[in-house]
Amino acid sequence: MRARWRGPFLLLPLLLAGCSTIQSALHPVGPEASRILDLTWVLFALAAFVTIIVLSALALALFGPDRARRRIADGRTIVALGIVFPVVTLTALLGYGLWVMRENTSPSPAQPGLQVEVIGEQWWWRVHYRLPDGTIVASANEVRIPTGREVEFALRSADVIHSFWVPSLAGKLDMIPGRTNHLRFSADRPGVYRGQCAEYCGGAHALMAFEVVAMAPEDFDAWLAALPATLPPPAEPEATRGGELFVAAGCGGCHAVRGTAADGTTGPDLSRVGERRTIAAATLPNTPDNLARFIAEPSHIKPGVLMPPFTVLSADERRAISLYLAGLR
Amino acid sequence: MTRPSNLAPLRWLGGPLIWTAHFLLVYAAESLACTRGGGPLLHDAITAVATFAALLGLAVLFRINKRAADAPSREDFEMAEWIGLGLVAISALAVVWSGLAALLIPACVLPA
Amino acid sequence: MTAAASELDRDLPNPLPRPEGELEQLQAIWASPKGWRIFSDVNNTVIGLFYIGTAFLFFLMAGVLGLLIRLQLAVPSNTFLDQNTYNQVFTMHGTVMMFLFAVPVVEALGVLLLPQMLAARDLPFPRLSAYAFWAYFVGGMVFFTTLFFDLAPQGGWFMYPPLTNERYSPGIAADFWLLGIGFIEISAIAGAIEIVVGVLRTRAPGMSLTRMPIFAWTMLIFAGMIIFAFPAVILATMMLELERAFGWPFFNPDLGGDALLWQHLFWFFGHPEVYIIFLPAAGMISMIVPAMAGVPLVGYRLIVVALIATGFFSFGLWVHHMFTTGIPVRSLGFFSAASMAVSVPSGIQVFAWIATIAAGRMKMTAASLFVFGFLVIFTLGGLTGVMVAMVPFDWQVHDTYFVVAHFHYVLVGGMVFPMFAAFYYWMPAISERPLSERLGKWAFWLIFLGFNTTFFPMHLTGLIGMPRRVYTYPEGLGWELPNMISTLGAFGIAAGVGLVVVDLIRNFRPASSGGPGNVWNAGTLEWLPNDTYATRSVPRVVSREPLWDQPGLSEDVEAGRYYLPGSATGMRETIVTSPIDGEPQYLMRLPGPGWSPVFAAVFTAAFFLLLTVKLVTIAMICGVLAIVSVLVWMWGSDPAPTEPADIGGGVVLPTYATGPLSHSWWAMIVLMLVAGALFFSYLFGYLYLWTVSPQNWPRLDALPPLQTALTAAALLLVSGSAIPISAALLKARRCWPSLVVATLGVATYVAAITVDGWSQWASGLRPDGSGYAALVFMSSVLQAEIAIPCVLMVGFLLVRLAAGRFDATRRVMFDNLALLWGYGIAQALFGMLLTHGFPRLVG
Repeated sequence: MRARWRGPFLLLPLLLAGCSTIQSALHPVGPEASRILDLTWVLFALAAFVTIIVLSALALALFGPDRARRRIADGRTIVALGIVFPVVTLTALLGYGLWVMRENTSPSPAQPGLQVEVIGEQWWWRVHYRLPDGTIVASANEVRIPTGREVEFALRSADVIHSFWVPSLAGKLDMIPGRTNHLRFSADRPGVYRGQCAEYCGGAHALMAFEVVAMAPEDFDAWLAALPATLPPPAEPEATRGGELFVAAGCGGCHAVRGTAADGTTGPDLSRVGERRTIAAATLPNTPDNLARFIAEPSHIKPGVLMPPFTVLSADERRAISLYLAGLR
Repeated sequence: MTRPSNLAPLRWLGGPLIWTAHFLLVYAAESLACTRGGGPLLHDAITAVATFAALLGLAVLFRINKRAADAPSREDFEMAEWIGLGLVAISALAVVWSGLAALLIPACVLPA
Repeated sequence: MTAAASELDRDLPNPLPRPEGELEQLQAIWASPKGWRIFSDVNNTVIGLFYIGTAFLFFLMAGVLGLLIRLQLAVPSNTFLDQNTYNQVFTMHGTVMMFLFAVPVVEALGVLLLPQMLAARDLPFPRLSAYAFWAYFVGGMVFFTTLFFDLAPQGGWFMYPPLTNERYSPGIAADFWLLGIGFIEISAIAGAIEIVVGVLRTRAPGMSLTRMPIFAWTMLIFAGMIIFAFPAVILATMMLELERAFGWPFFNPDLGGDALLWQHLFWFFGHPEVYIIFLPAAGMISMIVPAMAGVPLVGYRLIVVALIATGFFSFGLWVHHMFTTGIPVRSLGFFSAASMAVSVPSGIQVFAWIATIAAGRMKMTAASLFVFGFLVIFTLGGLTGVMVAMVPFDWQVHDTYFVVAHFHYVLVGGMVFPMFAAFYYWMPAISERPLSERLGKWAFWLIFLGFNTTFFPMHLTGLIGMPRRVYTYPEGLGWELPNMISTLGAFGIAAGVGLVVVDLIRNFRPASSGGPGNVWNAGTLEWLPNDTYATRSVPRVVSREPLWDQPGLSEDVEAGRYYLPGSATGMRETIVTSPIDGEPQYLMRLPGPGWSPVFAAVFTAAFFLLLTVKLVTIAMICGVLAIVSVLVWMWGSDPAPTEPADIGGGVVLPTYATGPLSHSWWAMIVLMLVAGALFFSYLFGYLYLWTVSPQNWPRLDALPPLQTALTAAALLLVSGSAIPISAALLKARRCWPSLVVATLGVATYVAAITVDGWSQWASGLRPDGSGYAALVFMSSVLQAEIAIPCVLMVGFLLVRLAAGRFDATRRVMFDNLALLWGYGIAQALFGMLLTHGFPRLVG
């Protein structure tokens, strides 16, 4: 069952040109990830220092002058370098690490600026935004957040254990069936930050990614306010035909598009799929071509996916559906 | 010239055994205090008492082992007693570090 | 030194000539069977080599899997392996390296080297070693071949449910993992029992605890850790298999189970496992460094403190692997503190080794190079270990390539480099020719440079966001270059390992006797002239490096001038000494070659594997055959007492011992510790699940009636009181009445646990109903697992009595029964207190 595709990833660089920092713990854009990076540099500096001590002691022990070797062979050196030094540095380090841990988890007094529930499923992310009025609006595989406001994520799983991780913004937290874990973080500046499932969840674990899109607060508020609304019907005739085919082919049995007859909940919500930058859980750039390819042979792009191939539809029909979906924005 | 009794290994291992008891107690107590009632204050109290008791126990054990180490005995048995003392010392360090964790981090807080 | 000198003030070495034919008799008694019958041999020198060879073979095969992984990840979007194959390959790479290579190879080195180092003729239970080896060999080979039938598990080496439950991993691949690994764990425990009793009871006369070579200390701690750590994973695998096969929902949150329960149990084993692998390797380093430097180890006592402390502290680290699961942060702090504590002993050891190197003049041999490689790589791995112990840092790097780098530095640095050092160092003691120094040095540089090229970049790969266990990755995230470098480095390692294999093929010729001898001028006893019977005579030891401190020892030992220069009873035998000071206590007779352990192992393996493929009937037949083989094996054990034997030097020893003096009593105590650890893990699981889903605990009126529980408890007490009665009757030489009482007592015990299990069933509880119910019936499973051996043992004793193989003196098997039976009653009472008392306490 050798996969016969190679194309999808070749297209990604176009999208990602010049931004190899979008999934990196070394490029933090929020206070949580920044504090951890500070700790990281301290740890690396200390590790380098200890390595130098050990290597020089070893080199002196092997090749040093007799006086140095006698001193290293002395039991007091073992006590000084092997006990006293580690105990002092480790105590300091432990204290520092515990302090960072407390800072990163201390409940902030303010209400979070946004509450989002993310549910891990094999192998995609179900997203629920909680609106200020309490209503829940569904989305998938992309989370939009306002900058500068703390966002609280409620993390759950629908099947096996997954792990929610956006390195640029915060450390990871597991999504465990039967439990809800809470993660809070904020982004300092607008941008796209990539996340990926970090706990092996079987099959296409490698292809379970997502993106966090941080927007200026006013842009975000406007976007969120418009999110529950039903979109106007497409203007182009081909897209209109695609919308009809979408319902006729039974896509609505699994996928939902708000305001239409499609109200399935098994698969990702597609109400605003046209707005998303990627499809198939951040595996392919979101283009009508890629959408059409995914509809034809989903398991070529993501082996093991539940969605059946829609090769019964003609290429034109798939094209029409993909145009319809691309217009959902 | 004395040789260690057959129960001496218990004395030698007493340090790490006290650490084990302390560790399991403070860890289990947090699960229980936070999920089954009692709350952070109860866990603070349990941890403080357990840490104090463990350190006291280690101090007593140190005295006992020290006395045995000071008694005249064959060189290799003396070393065995010394090993018991070393284990008490390193266990005390580990207990203090556990206490430090409790001192710096509030109980019953989930990562967020 | 004066005290030690006075110890030597005995009739040793004995200057008188040895009688003619004594050596020939010794050789004949210990001779290995010829031709294919060699497979029935049980001698540690033979089994040890089989064992190491098999483990090394698994290392090579799992290494090839590692190369496949690296090939797939060399470039982004690669299609060399598909998703399904890759997931099997990485699961098998980890599983085989951890379970089929690392632990067995260490155990194998112990089996091969310990008796020589302690100057014992063999380990105390040679057939148990043979059983452990054959079980491992058959089980491991079958498990590995699943890869060729697309039947290999793909849940990762730690097999987290729910991914591995019946719903998300249908088919039998996960069952292969659970039954195969469960079975190899049992083999590891068998080996651990052997090693504990061997180290504590079969040392050379005069070798007190603090005169033991460090390697013996590490093997003792290694075995002790296996005894407490492995039961947790055995329980976990039993539970997951019960969940998969019969729907007992231990890990299913929909029915009151919890997915994290598996992680707790698995890592309670899994973290100590790292130190289980590392400590013996550290022990090897502590042997090689002094020999190569030509001076005694500096800081021996500090190193012993460090080893014991590591053994304990490593049990306080299991949540280390669960920092991202959402456990309360103060608890994370406790585990972070324990992680700091465990790194102190490592620091002590590193500087003690460096001090030893400074104290002497290091010979620059291949073994030394591997030691230096170990020091560098292990130090780096230890430092990244301190880093991942910092909880917030771990939140970023957990489950990324940073962690992949970290544990390869720890495991390859901490265990594979010492293993190669050990190959080059000890080869002259077991092979006719040493390995080639030239090839060895080439191999070292290839492996060392290849290793760092492969794994150093992975620290970065992880920090820039690459998670582990991904079969592919997209372009443009900056992961291309480090992955390509890693793949190139992997072939450097492969080339180096290939050179070692070439060297082994060219130069390794097992030596039954002779060999180049003490080429490094080392100080410990394994460098005495050796044969299948170990040393000709058993020296009295007065220091830690006897070959340095007792001039002429080799010649005297070889000339038979010390203890036991021949066979005193006409059988294979070894001297049993006291655990602390190593004074001779009795002469143990050892079994010779035999097929029963081989058959027992093959049929046990067949039982588990056939069960996996759901061939239940044949599996059951194999199970019965396995038990029959064990009974045949046990039939010949416990030989009748003979006259006391003169082992020379004015020492006359009994040839039979019972009670706490007997090696068999010690083994039974260790086995009870294993059972106790298993039950402790169960207790943890019960209480843990209660904190997670207390709503599943029954109301008082849903519990079985208290009267039934009290009846069962009363039956247990009756059964327990039969133990002293039966023992008193035996002491009064009334064997039949004694066994009748024992039979009735064991029957009462079985009745009690049956009544208890039945009362739960009658109350309407079903094991597939909830996590709570599954745990209640799991208690019955654990009771039965003690009761069934008791039934077999009492039946076996009856037959032996009828056959005249059991009486008031020859009673070791009775003592064992009494111990296990007493333990079983205590465990059953405790279990009932839990299953009946706890719900009433909290209800």
